[in-house]
Parts: sequence; structure tokens; C-alpha cells
Amino acid sequence: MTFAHPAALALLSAWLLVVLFAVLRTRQRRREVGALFLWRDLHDSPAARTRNLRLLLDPLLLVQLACVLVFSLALAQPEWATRRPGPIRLAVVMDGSASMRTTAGGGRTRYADAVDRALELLADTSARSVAVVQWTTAPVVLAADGSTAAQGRSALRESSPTWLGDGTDADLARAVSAVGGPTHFGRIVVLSDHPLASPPFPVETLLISGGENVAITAFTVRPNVLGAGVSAFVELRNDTTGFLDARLLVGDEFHRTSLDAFLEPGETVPYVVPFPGARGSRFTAALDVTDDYAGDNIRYFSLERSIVLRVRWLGAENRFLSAALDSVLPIVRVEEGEPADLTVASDTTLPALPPGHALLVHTNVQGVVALSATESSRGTASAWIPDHALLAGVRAEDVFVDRMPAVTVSAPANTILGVGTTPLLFEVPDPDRSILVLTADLSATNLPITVDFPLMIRTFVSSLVRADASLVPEWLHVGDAIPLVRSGSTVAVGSTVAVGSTATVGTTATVLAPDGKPIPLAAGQRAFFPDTPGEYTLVVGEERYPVSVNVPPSESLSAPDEPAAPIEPPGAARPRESSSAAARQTAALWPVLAGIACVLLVLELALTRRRAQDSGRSP
Amino acid sequence: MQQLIEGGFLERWANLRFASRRRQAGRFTGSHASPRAGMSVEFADYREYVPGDDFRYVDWNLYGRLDRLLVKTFVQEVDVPVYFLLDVSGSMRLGTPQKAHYGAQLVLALSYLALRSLDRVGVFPFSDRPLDSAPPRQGMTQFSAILRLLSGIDPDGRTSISEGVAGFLSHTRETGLVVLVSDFLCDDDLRDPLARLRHRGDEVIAIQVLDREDIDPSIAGQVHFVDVETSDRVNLAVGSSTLDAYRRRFEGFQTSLRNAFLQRGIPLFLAPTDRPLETLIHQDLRAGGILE
Repeated sequence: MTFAHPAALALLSAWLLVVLFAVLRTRQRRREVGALFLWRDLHDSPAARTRNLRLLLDPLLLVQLACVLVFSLALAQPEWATRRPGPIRLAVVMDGSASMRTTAGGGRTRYADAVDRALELLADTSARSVAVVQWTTAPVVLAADGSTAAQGRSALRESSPTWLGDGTDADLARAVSAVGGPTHFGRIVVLSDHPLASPPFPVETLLISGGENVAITAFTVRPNVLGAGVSAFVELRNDTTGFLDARLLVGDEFHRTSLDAFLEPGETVPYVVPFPGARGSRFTAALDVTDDYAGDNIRYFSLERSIVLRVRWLGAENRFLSAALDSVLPIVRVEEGEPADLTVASDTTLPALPPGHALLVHTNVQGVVALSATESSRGTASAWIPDHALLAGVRAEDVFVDRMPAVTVSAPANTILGVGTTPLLFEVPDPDRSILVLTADLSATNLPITVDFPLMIRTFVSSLVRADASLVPEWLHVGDAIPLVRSGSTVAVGSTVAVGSTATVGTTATVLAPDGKPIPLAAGQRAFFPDTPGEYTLVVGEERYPVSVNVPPSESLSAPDEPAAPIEPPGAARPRESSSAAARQTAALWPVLAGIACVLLVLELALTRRRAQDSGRSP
Repeated sequence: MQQLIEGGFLERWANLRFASRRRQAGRFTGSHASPRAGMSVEFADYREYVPGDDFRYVDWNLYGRLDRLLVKTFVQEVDVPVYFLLDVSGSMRLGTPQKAHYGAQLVLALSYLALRSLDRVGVFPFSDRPLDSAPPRQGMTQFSAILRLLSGIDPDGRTSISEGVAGFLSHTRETGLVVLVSDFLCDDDLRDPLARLRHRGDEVIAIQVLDREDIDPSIAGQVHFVDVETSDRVNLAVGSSTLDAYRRRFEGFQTSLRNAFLQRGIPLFLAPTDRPLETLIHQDLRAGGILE
């Protein structure tokens, strides 16, 4: 039942006046008597005491109260909704994106509110067939078409919001198509915390709102080009109505640094957080704040490799080379058989090129380069490939070689520097790795005492880190695919694979969840779709690749404060029996109520006159 | 007070008179037989002739048969003083119509028929304060005086039968018929004033004027009772059981009142104000032998 003028119900407050008058009427009844002694002590009668209670049931008072009630209802013009036959099929589309986890008030999430609204909808529907789908970037059917309302309610109660992002219009179309398509339903109701800009077909939208949010909307980490550690780039947004004064914590597996952030309401501010002590490859940015949506208060970012350089050292120790490497990155020496980022060979002879990236200094490699003790030349170096990346910031003419050995290169090579006609620095082309060869003995050059050498080493090491196409995207969202493909070769799960030229026969891929437990993958699976944010690990053979998965930043957008009116696309045909208003017809009740009120008035008048007559017998 | 006499009021009582149950020794010739021999037409007795007797009353027939001079004596018809003691206390102001109004009309009607019987009529309103009265006189001029007196009364004060009787006795010496009109709604001891009246030899009639609400109140709910004479107050939640208790108490009070009058040979007539005056006078008082 609805009211055309609900404000008229305020007239119900006239009850207070009626009761007040009744009390006053009762209390002010005064009777003069000539023989009061005949009335004395009669008030001890139990029946007289209970009379007070019976006054509450005074028929006149009850009739007057009924009059007020009926008149108020009549003025409010109630309308009784009579239901027409409802749509035969009803589709309920639940927004299951991460933002629906926002606490909307009273400790309940937007999703819980949406479920309640949907339950009311299903309890009120007369549809014979109900379908419930959860709409995100990866829609899920909760109750297939043909379900009863009870089955739909059960599916709703068992559902929960995901960490996925908002579904697009295409996702909505896919979601509805999964249960039969939009034309299959007489009514499609979408419950979401964001309005649909241009839904692909007519829908009713019930907006769920509430909650305030402070978010980290962006987070990335870059190694410092000149110096150790990294710099973190963090963007914060304050979508609350108050000022934000919080601590931003940025850390890796080993260390943590912090920064105080202060944001005005509605402000978005980018921060650069220096993190010189960073050594790890997994980074987090966390906001020490309590708001209604915690999913975006922590963000994850991974570098493909740790910024600690794992070095396998072959040959003689060379303190100048070690110092140059140390000046670029923290160095960790690894033993034979352990994973290494770089193999450094110095003043030695190798039977073949070592696996992976390699830096060879004054080293013979069979089939690649041969050095002889015979000095071929001495003098200043010259750039053979002047615009080579390794020469960035380096002046070739500043490099002086006192004793240059005779060099025989028997493999394809790109000579970068040379002394006279002798290659001094060249790289062996390989699509999957970098191999850099310095033919001269460092102690016979001025490199250890120039700034050019550390620069070249730094550039080289940086190229090693960034060389390959990243197996893992730097900023993944929940639901995004983690491709198990590298350089065109599939990392087949559960089978032997070849990962480029460096793959080890017999390698299998495994994905570790943020808690470190392996996630079962199907045989032949080409991609993995994380469903929760956190730090995953992709293990391929001996290699471990960190994978950071975040809640989509679009989920940090605030929902409108006030629920908007149901949205329908402009010019769209009205869905068949789609509107609840259209599905009902109203019957005006006020004439009936007015008639009842008149009858009550007549009754009240009769009671009043009778009471007046009774009172007239007494003075 | 409302107008006491309307058109045709007096004609209703023209053929009635007080039936005195005892021979009163009135001072003036009236319509009531006196214990003393008098000059009426009603034969009383014979007595021996003594010198000086009027020869007209010698029964010559008896002298012829008995050879004795016997003189016929006749009943002396005298008037009877009729005294009306009308309660004009505050309680008589109550009722519909006012009990005082009803009582005044009753006194006026009875005065009229008494005056028509050549009786002397005196009216003595009483309460607990000094009030004007109409001393007993004969004739219709007295009726006018009584009418003026009753028209001017304003019921007020407390009911005091004792003071009313005492004042009346101090103003009158001659015994007569005392008509006591009151609601008697007081907790005074009536034995003393009634005894004083009877002791003087007055014939007393009591007429109790009550309102229907005194007898059978119909009020209900939370009631603030105020005694109209003493201004005492009692708050009561009145229900049917309370009213039943009142009726029982009122009935007990009436019984004790009737007994008090009955023990002194005083008839008590109940005159509810909703009972027509004609009915009271023509039926109740005649049936009770007060009027004839």
C-alpha cells in the first residue's frame, strides 16, 4: 500500500490531542453534592480503582481515535497496489566487483545490501523463471535460467563479492547471454554501485551506495639509475569528506620505509618514495588508515628479478671488476648449480660459453674468442659502434689500453670498442641473453680508475635486468591472465618444456599462491587467472618469477551518495512488463475511508450527545 | 430563584385542607374542632343550666321530658397554626429543578390551602444563618407575604435542623402543625430537635425533598466531589460498583432517617423533585392523612 500524500499521516499526531482532551475531560469532571459523607471512603472499592483502567477503553475516546486515524488515512490517499501478472522470466544481475566489498554502513557491505534488495525483489516477484548472474570482468552464473525464486534466493545468499573489477557493458551482455540473452527475459534488474552509462539493452538499475574510501590508485617501482635501491611511485586519493593524515609504508622482503601523507578531501596526490635500501624484488605500498574499503589500501609490485645481482664467478678474482659491479647493484656470489643472474669470468679459459648472461673479461672461450699473450697493440680505444647503448655516457677516447692481447673472434660478434684493429669490447649476439666480452686485462688498462668503467658495467647490468620481454606484467589486476608463455614458447604445465634456449629439459611450471601453497593447474593450461590480490610466484624450472596482483584501481572510485533513479537507455523500448510500477495497478482507498470516517463521526456524535444527556442529570 | 407560581398553580389545591389529627387549641375561629366548646353548628354535649347561660341553648324538649334544664353545648371550631420550616441550606440549591425551588413550591401550595382553611400560616426558612421568616397569620395577605419571602430565598449555608428548630421554637409560642421540608442530607443528630418539637406538642410532618441524582446517581469516571455546604472535596474513580456501594449507603441512611422520625410518630414523606407536585400533594399527602 502506498500513499499519494504521506505527509497527511502527520495528522495522526492529533491522537495526542484527543487523548489529552479525554484525560482532561475525565479529570475535570466535578460534581457538587449535598451529602459528601455518603461518598466518603468509597474510593477504596477495588472496582473503583480498576475504573481508571477502564477509562482507557472509553468508547467515546476509542471512536474519536478511530476518527482521527481514518481521516488521516483518507487524507493521505492510500493506494492499494494490485499485482498484475508479472514477467514470466526475471534476470537479476549482481555487481560482484571488489568495490561491492565496501562497508556501506552498519557493518554491512554494499554487496550484502544488494543481496537484501535482490531477495526482496525475488520475494515479490511472480516470475516463473529466475536467473541470477554475478557481473564482473569474469561473469558467473549463480542461478541458471529456469530456477525458481527460492533457488535464486538460495544462490544469492551463498554468493559473495569477488576481487575482480567492474564489468563492462560487454561483460554485462555476456553475463545475460550466459543465461539466455536479454530478449529471453521480461525483466532484467541490475544491482550495482555504479550507474550504467549505456547499457546494451533495457535494464532496471538499483544503485547501492555508501562508504568512504582512501585509496592507493597507482604504485610502481623503478631501480635507481644512479645509485642503489629503488624509487617507489605512489598515487593516493582521498575520497572521504575529511582530511587524510596517514602514513604510507613502502617495503620489500627485507626493508621498509615510510612517508607521511596529507590529503585534502577529494584530492589525488602522487608521491615519490626513495627506497635506497631496497634489495628485494617484491614490493608493497600500504596505507596505514582505516576506511570502508580495505582492498586498495595495499598494493603490490614486483620486479622480474631481484635487484640483487646473483653472480657466478669463474676464474681469478678481480677486485676492480667486483668493485664496478658492487657500485651498480648489491652482488651475491652463487655457487655452481645455483641460479645466477650473471656469470662473470675473469682471466680464465672456458670450454664454452656459460649459460645465461655472461661478462667475460680477458677470458678465452673455445669457439668464441681466443686471446694470445702477444701484444697486438696499445693505445686509445675507439668506438666501433658509436651509438651503442653501452657507450651511453662513455667517451671511448678516454679509455687507454697499455697492453692489448691478440684477439681472435671465431663467433659472430658486434664489436663496440676497439684499439686499433683489435676488438676491445664486443657482444655475442643472442636473442635470449647478453654476452659481453672485454678482451683486455683490466690491470693493463686505465678502466679501473675512470668513471667510464662503472658506467659501462651499470649499463650492461641494467640491460641484463631489462633485456628480455617480461614474462610477468608489472601491474596485474585480479582476473588478469598470467600467461604461461615466454618468447613464443609455451610453458606447458606438467610436461617438459623448452623455454628459449636456456630452458632446461624437464622443467615444469607451478604457480604459488600468496600464502606459498601451489595452485593446481590443468594440463596444457596456457594462462592462470588470479582471483585474489597478493604476491604470486610463477615457478618455471629453477626460475621463480614474482607476480604482483592488485585490485583494479577502478574499484576505488566512490559510489554515488544517493541512489539514482532506475536508468534506462534513452530511446530504448520499454522491456516487456519490466517496470514494477507498470506491473501494478493501484486502487484508491480514500473514498472508502472517508465513508468510514463519516460513520464514525455520526457514532461519535451520538455518544457525545448521550454522554451530555447523562451529564445533564447532574448539576 | 425561578418563578414559583405559574398560571393555574393555586387552583389545583383549592379543595384541600389539612386534616389535623389532634384537636388543637387555636386562638382564632377556624375550621378545626377545638377541645373547647364553642359557637359552631356542630353539637357537642349537654350540661346543666347555670344562671347566666344563654336561654337560646336550653333544650326545651328535654326539659319537657326530663324536667331538667339542660343547655346544649357546641364544638368550637378554631384555626390551626401551620408552621413551615423550609431548609434553604446550600444542598437545597442542587437538583433539577432545584430542591429549594421544589420545596418552596410545595410550601406555597400547602400554605395556600391552609390559608383557605382560615389557618394561620407561618414560614420559617432555616440554615445555619439568620434568615427572614413569615410569622403565622391568617388571610391571603399572608400568602402574598409568604410568596415574597420564598421568592427571595437564596439557598446557602449548612443544613442545621437543630438550629432551624431552635429558632422556630423561639419565635412561636403556640403549638401547631409543623411541616418540616428538607433534604435531611446531613449527619446531624435529629433526635433532639424532633424531641423538642414533640415536647412542645406540635404535630410534625416531615417531607424529604431529594433530587434523583441524590437517590440514584448516574455519574461515572474520575469525579471530583465537592460538598456544596462545606466545600470538602473527595476524588473518586466512580464505577458501577462504587455507585452500588453509594446506593447501599444511601438506603441505609434513609432507613435510619425514617426510623428516627418513626420513633417520634412523625410521618416522613419522600418528595423527589422529578415527582410532580400534584402527585405528591393529591396522592401522597392525602394518602398519608395529612390532607383531606
